[in-house]
Amino acid sequence: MEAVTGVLLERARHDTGLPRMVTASLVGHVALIAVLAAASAISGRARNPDLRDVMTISLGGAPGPNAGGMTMMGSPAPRRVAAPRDAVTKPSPVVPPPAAATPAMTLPAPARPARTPPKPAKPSAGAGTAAPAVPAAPAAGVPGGEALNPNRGLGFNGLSTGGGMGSGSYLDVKGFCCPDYLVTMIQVIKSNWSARQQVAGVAMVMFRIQRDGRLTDIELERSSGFAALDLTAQRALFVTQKLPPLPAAFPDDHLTVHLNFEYTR
Amino acid sequence: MGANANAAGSVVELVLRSGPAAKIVLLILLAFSVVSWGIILHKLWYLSRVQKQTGTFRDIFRRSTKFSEVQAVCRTFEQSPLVGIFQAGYAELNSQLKQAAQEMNSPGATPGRPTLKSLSAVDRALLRAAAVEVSKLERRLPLLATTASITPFIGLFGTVWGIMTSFQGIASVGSTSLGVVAPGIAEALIATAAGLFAAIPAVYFYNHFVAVVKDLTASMDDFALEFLNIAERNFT
Repeated sequence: MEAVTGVLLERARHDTGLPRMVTASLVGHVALIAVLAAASAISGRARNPDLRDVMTISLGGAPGPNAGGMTMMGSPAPRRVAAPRDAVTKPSPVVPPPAAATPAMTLPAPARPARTPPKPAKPSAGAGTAAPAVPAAPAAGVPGGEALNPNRGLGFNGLSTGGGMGSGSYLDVKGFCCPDYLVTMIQVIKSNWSARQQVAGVAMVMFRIQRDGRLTDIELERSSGFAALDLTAQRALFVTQKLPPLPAAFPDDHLTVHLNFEYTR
Repeated sequence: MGANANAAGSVVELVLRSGPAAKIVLLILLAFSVVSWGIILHKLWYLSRVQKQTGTFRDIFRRSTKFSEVQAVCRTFEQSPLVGIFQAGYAELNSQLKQAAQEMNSPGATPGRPTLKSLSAVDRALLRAAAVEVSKLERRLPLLATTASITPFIGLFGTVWGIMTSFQGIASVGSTSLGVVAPGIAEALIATAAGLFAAIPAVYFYNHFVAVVKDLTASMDDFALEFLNIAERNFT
């Protein structure tokens, strides 16, 4: 063999240390993943573990339709909300007719005792079921008669995801069954709270709604930076004290809500 | 730090919740990342030693007066490609000179200094050594280039797949609310993030190593010419 070839073969053989470095790299990757997992475990424990059953709702901004990119909520929601809304707008025209009709009904009643009772029974029953159903939500929800209409209009706009920054209330619900309950909740809380303060800011308050509607565990989650705003937000919840009971369709015994109180100047 | 940890935590959560296709993609990307980082660490360590030894060896070569002196220190600077070139040239030179000395010792020859028969043979030996050394320096760099170019695509594949399945999910649920759409897309995007995570260091270090190798190649060429000059001056 030629001398040069021998030297070259000898030189070409030297290459060590790669397996060691691949092992080091593997160890590094495992360590990185472990750190990420540990960070996840810590932050998961520090925050609410049941983050998926939780909603974040913002409250505040000007009442009115939210302009930008609204997304309606899941398909069952519109139907449920539509029913009470119709019922609310109608009560004054609807309720008087039965009242006016009843005297008229009473007169023919003795003449036809056998057949008429089913007929008056139906309208009165219809009015009867409509009546309790309607006041139950809005009457508790909105004390101010005039405020009711714009708020009702806002109702579903408020319950949209996305929308203009900080205008109105928005809601990010993951699989909560009953958006109309949230409309009621937001209106009740709003009626006890004023968005207009001397400074702007957002306070986030966490609370639980128990099955019977009591508000418990009211906690300031993120301060707005102004004690007055934080206290006003918490006060609104303490004053509210009790909401309508949770809807029957909601399975858990309490609902955790994160509410953003957005103050405007 | 709190927000950071939370973001990192949610990333791990997303990975754990993702589907089997996404997990396979992530495992492939992890393997690529491990191997490419292994090569990066090895090359960093190796090339830094090579550069250091090359500088020192070149100084010794220029200061010494005899090739045999230089040959004696070659063991110490084994990593330097200049050592390979020098040893190849020295071996060729030696064998030619030995042959010349034998011819001179034979009866009827003219006495005198042994001379080289062919300088271009020495040149060829130096070129061969340079080729060996360059291929040694560049070894496994192509794997780095492969990692740099295909991991983003693998990640993209995982994302496209994830978004496809999440749209199927939307279709079956019949709802387009953000709550339904967003988690699937977030899970899918993890794959692209992982692909970029593997690719970015590979691209950076590939370019870095190519530049270092180019630098070393230039100094190898320079050294070979220097060696050839000395050989020509002394042995022809």
